[in-house]
Amino acid sequence: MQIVKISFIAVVVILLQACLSPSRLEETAIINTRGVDLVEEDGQRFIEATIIPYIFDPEAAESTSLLVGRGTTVKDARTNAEKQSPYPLSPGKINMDFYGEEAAKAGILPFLNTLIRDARVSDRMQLAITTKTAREFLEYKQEITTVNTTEYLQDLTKKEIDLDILPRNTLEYFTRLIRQVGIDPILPILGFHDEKPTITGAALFKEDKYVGEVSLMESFFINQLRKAVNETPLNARVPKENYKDMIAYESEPTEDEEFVYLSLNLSKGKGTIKLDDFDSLSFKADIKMRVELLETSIPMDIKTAETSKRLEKDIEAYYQAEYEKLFEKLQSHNVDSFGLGRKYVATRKGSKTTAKEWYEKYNNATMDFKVNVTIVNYGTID
Amino acid sequence: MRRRSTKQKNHPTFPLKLSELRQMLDSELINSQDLSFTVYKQANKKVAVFYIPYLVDQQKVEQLALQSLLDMQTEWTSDTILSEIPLALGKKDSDISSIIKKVTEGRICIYVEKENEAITYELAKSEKRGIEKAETESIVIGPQIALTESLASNLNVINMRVNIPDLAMERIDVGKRNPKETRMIYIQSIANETDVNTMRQRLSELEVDMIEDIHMLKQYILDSSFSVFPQYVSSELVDRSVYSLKEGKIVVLIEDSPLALIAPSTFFSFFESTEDRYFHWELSTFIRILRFIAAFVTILLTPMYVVATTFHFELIPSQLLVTLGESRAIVPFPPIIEVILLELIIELLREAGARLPTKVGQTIGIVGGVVVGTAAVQAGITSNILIILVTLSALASFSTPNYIMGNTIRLIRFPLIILAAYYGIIGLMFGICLLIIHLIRLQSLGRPYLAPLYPLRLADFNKVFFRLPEQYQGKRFLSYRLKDRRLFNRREATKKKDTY
Amino acid sequence: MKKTIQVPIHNQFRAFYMFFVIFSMQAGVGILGTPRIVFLEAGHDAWISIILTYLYVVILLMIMLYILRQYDNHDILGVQADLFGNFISKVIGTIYLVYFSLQLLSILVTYIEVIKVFVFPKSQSLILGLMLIIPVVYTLLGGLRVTIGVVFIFIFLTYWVLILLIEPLRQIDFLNFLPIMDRGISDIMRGVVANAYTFSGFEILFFIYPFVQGKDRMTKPIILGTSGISLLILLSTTIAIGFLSPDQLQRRIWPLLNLYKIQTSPIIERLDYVVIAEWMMVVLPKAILLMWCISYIAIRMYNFPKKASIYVFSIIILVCIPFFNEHFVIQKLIDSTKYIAYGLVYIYPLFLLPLVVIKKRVQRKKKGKNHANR
Repeated sequence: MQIVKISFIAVVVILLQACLSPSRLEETAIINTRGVDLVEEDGQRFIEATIIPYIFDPEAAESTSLLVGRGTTVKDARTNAEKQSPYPLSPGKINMDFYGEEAAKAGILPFLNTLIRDARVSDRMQLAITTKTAREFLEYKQEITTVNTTEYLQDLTKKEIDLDILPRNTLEYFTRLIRQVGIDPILPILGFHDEKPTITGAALFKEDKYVGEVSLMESFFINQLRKAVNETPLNARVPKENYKDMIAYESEPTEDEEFVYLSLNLSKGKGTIKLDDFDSLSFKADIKMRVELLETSIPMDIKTAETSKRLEKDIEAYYQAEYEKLFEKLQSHNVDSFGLGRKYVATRKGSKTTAKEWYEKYNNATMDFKVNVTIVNYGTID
Repeated sequence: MRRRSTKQKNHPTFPLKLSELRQMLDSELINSQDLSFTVYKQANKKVAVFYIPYLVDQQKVEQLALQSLLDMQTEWTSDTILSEIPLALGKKDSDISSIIKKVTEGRICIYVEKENEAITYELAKSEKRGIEKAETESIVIGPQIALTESLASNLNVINMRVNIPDLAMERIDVGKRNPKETRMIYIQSIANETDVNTMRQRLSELEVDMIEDIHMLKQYILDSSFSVFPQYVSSELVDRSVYSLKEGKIVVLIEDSPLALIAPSTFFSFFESTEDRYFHWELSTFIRILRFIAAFVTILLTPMYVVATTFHFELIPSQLLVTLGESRAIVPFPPIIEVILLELIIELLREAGARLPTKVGQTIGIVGGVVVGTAAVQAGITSNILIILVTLSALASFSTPNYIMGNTIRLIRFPLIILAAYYGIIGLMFGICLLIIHLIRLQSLGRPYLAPLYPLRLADFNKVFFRLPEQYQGKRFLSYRLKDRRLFNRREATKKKDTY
Repeated sequence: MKKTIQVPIHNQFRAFYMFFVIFSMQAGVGILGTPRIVFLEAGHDAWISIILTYLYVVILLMIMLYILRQYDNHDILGVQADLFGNFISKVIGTIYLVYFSLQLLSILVTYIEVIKVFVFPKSQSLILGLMLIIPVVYTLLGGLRVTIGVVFIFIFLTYWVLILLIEPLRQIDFLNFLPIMDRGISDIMRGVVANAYTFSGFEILFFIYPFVQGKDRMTKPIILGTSGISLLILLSTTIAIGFLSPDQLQRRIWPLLNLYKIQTSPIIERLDYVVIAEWMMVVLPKAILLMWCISYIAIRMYNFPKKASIYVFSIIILVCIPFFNEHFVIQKLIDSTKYIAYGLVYIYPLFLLPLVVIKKRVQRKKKGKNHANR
């Protein structure tokens, strides 16, 4: 008899909550890509949201279109953009989020706030900065590419991340670093090159503010100090005079060049940062790289272990110089992308270190780079 | 054929004249037109032989009874007839109503005029089919011999295979108006006594009118009549019964039913096939796991579709989202209607296929599956992804070896689909929780239905979820608390004594 | 009220299942928010607090077992009646009843809040409550065999979700734990106190003890049960501290669910939804056991009929659910439950212990005297 009673209650459940409104797949405009800009109009700052949703309308030729809305908050801008859409907008599937240069310089945390607060938003959403405003970027991109747009851009950045050139640009990772004392995040910058969307560089963030740009190569250097990297294509150059005896063949145009350019493949790389001296804030970075030599700009014969050592040494010197330049640049922006502060905080006992405290100390920090390169193979020839 | 019984007139008693006897038989029997009543004479003696022709073996009556009766040299009396006719099972009877009853059961009766007793001979013939291959539980390898409608031949078949002295075949007659012979078969030295007693009590205390088939009997003796889940395995395969006996279970047979009821059964025994034991152990482990996955898929696939399309599109992988969205956009119904519609079509196809003759059934299957499916997608009634999902889950449900269990699994999907449509993934979870609690509550012959999962008996896992090589399975089911758990000594069984 | 309880054999369960009972009772929704609650007090040394709490719980369990073993087949109500007399025992029993009801209400309400925040913002508490109460009632009507079965089976159906933490686990940053023992002892002890709500639940031992078969084999499953769940709490807290930055951890109400948000699979992209739904199977066993305790106390102290007690308390709790639909009201409920837990769960057994020891010693002496006199 209990079953009868229980099934009765079950029927009541079903009847009672017919009020739960479904959000059906085909009747929702699922936001796919979002762009946020800051625009100024009549002396007032507005947030402009550019939204590309999936709208599954059998009559429409394209399932993606572009909506633009303005408002004082991101949510307000979205509500205004929603007016152009036949279905309610839903943030559950935002795959990429773009910020225009202006917006990024003003700090993107306020824009992220709604995303973090909303549990439906995926934490694996990718973030990126655009060279122009996000709206221009998305509109232009919408015009010239016919392929599924967001996926194209996603794959574009994902490829670089898989190659360990860029650190992850997911929302979850970015928000983790943004408020972490002693480390600053990096995001990719997207722009156009030959009318095709390209990653043009990496944006340095100081907390949530975009303060400077580094090249992809430098972004790799930063990444190498954060985690173990592998299978990354690299470039290096060594002074030509050191290898006069090894040059196998020289053609006309390369004769005047001072350097031999090398194309390498990093098979394994890892950097560790150590706090050498707590009081004087001197850090030491130990970087180990195992590389494969793929190509030299001038054909060379590397016959002996000694020449190989020489080559390694020159590559080491090159990278070391690059690292030092990069560190200088970071310090000039007062950005701790390497994460030196984390070491400092982890070593310092007692009171909590605040971000402000650390940034003041950061410029006095010194760093000693020690790069160790091993060439593991030269391909089929030596 | 029933006697016109209730108002018993004053029965005339033996001795009788033959004409009186005839008269009386005509008035007592409802179907007296069928009665064959012949009178034979020898000197001054008259003998009446009467029987109902379609109940008896005519040939035997003529050759054995009549021939030898007429060839008799001695005088006809009850005693001489009984001793001279070469038939066993002859009985004297002096009560006319019992004679009438026996005639309706298919005996022939010989009465010598003015004697005090009549003689009845057992010459009944029951029409039955021969022993055939199993139809509903088709297996690929292994013995395929199936039980038939005849209890005697079933008993014979089983007894020939389990030829041990302590095989008990208890007879219990079930049914008040038309008692049917029911046999409760078990191996005395193995089967749990409590189980045997429970079964005996359930069968003998049954107060029902009449039982047509073992499935009816099964429903009367269920532990929980409100449950959709089958609680006893019924099988037509002889070796399934034999295996169950060996494992200490109780097999119940009933006259006129080609199936054996096996008790106690667990949820997992419905996913077992005798074939599993004939395959090599790796293979049967794989197949068994496949079946559980299939059942899981059947239950969850379409409800998950409803969940994803109605509430939580976030669950759908991004690559699939566009395809799914575009195919959903042309469908005019909400997902719940779409799914139920399609599931019902599949059920219709199955039902039509089962009811029609085999050849037509196949055609229906093809027509339904291919034509209706394609047409439905093209007409925009369903999305093509759903077609795949529904077919897949139907296919998975048919992989359950037990037909009834397969149907049950498909049935319990419908409430889950509805719950999913009303409360998304939480509603679905609610349904699943209730389902599992229900399974835990169920019992089969007083034994837990989910054994050996709960109560946990790790020792039985190798018989249920996977299989070990046969020589490692030296123990019977622990969950059933059998009298004798040991099958054989593992060390002895694994020793290879090849000397050459 | 009888002190000793005779339990029919079919209503008893093997000591082995005590593992699952203790495990389930200490789980529940608390584990979703624990990392943050401990972190707020003890900082990145939260894991030390958890280990300390665990040790304290183990000591408490041993004390509880010791108390119970002094009697034959008594539950706590019987022990109290023996020590303080029937009236006071009834009063404390009623406090237990209220405590269990609050505990049950708080876990249901918290889970409903999680559903509302993560899955269905517009859903109605009452219906969600009904969906949770119906399985509870359905299970309890099946008796203790079904209750233990549900607890047992649901554990296997749920804890596979912990495997999904593999991705956050791989991304743990050990720098987040440094420097070790940075916070003072007082902070860590405050963390221990904050753990009280999460770790409570093992007090069921006081009530379920008479139903266990093979009481002398009980210690191991109980200790293992509490160790198991403590290990899980420790693991999830460690992952949360290592993975999330301190700032994030301080602000996320259910950090564990945030950890699930970064895990994907090729078939189902968002596993956090699945985990939240699965969590129903973590909540239900605890709810079922709590409801069992409630109805058990009601039957034993007030001679309620069994079914009536289940129905009545279910309906009372169901009716209360819609009133707790704001975050801060729920927090208040949890806080008040916590305060009762401090007294009833964490201090009361310590108070009982000397009384039981003295009483038993006096009795033994009396017996000895009687012997001597004779």
